[in-house]
Amino acid sequence: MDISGLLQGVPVKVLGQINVKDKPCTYDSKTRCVSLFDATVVARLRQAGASVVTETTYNNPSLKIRCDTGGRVCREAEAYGCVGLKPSYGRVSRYGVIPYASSMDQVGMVVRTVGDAADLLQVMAGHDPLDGTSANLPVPDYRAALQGGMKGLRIGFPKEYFEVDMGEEVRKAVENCGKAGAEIVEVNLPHTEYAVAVYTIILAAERATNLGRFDGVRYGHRTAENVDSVADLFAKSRGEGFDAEEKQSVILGTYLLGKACYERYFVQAQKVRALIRRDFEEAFKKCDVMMMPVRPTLALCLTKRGGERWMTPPVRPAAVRPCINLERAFTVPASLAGICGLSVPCGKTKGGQPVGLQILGPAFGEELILRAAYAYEQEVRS
Amino acid sequence: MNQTINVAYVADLAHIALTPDEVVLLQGQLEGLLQYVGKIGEVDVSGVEPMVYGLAEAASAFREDTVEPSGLREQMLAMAPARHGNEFKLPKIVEDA
Repeated sequence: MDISGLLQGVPVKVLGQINVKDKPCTYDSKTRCVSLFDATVVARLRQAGASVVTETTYNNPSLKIRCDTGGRVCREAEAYGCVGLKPSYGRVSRYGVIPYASSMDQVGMVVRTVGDAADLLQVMAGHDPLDGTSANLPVPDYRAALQGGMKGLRIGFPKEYFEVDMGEEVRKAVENCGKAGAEIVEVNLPHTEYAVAVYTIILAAERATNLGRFDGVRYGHRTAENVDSVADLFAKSRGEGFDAEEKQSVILGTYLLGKACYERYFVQAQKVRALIRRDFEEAFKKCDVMMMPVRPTLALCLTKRGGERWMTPPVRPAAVRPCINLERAFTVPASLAGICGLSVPCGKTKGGQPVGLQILGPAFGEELILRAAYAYEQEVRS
Repeated sequence: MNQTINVAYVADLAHIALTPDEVVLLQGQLEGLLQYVGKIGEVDVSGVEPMVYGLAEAASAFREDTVEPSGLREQMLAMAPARHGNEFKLPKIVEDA
């Protein structure tokens, strides 16, 4: 499909990690680089006529794109009452996107409406020979896919996500989709409870690798102290340049990739990851999309009842918070499996917090989640 | 079984200089993390192949390795911590033989 002019004059904000030529490249606080080229996804936005804005050019456009590793765009969209979409791994080029965790990174978006998401994805999606992990698959017409309607849609209801005290808003939203003509099917995702642990391991290992490039030689922070060896130059530059979370991640990743832990943690995590993906593949034989909350309720994180199942309490919860973040528990499975996900507003809590309905689809099934979300937005949500 | 980690040793492998306070802090954090992630050990994975790539469909496309001009040398050197002509400049290091 020709994308020229599809976003003519529309401002699109490009956040973090994604290179925009001549703009500051904001990977971390200490690396002050200027991007030398446009990421493919930015070049495509320009081709579509969009006005590309970055963090330093302040205004408030309604369309934003950012790199997503563990489902952040969906959680962010929920918090702001917006629509968030994380495409399938390989759907959108990562060329020019600074990697965080390479096997999960994908450029996602936070936008106002499901229609916006369809238009923006139309522009972003597609094969890129410059990205070896970009899928060489045709891109459907996402605008046309919106019109499928709720009737006849098979919606999976994964009981693992609802078995503890969940927000009533999401449960009601799914019920109402059923009343509007969708078929609600119970599905099982039995390995969901291991997702955060698997994510923590894979993330640390991949971050340790990706942050290896910061050595104080070619770019980034270099220590001003005297050094007595090349290793000392690396160690001092990295010790000064990395923040607490980066140090934790790199040291954990280095440890997990070491001989003593490789099989027990890293390979085991890759195998459980395969099982998480298999869970989804099996479930999507019975349904077109799945609906569930974007995040566990706060109650789940705090009570023993849900807590023991979902997490073994760490030794020092406050101290490890940078890595173990149960808020991610419901969005990381999609990132691990490489499938697509979307969040659409579905009401507010009694306290007035916006609540998102998470809709997951099979790999490269973006047209299905867009159809379901659009039908929900147009037909079901009052 | 609780996994122990020699933080100072691993930090050395990872080329990160830590203060003594950081070593103590990370010791607690990392042991907590290892205890948490260790729960994946209870999953029966017999016969399961590890998932290495983000998606099987997206695994390693190859293309011809051809030399192409990047045209970015000057701009890249301009951002280096230090340069000497067309090279990255490193501090003078005299290592023991």
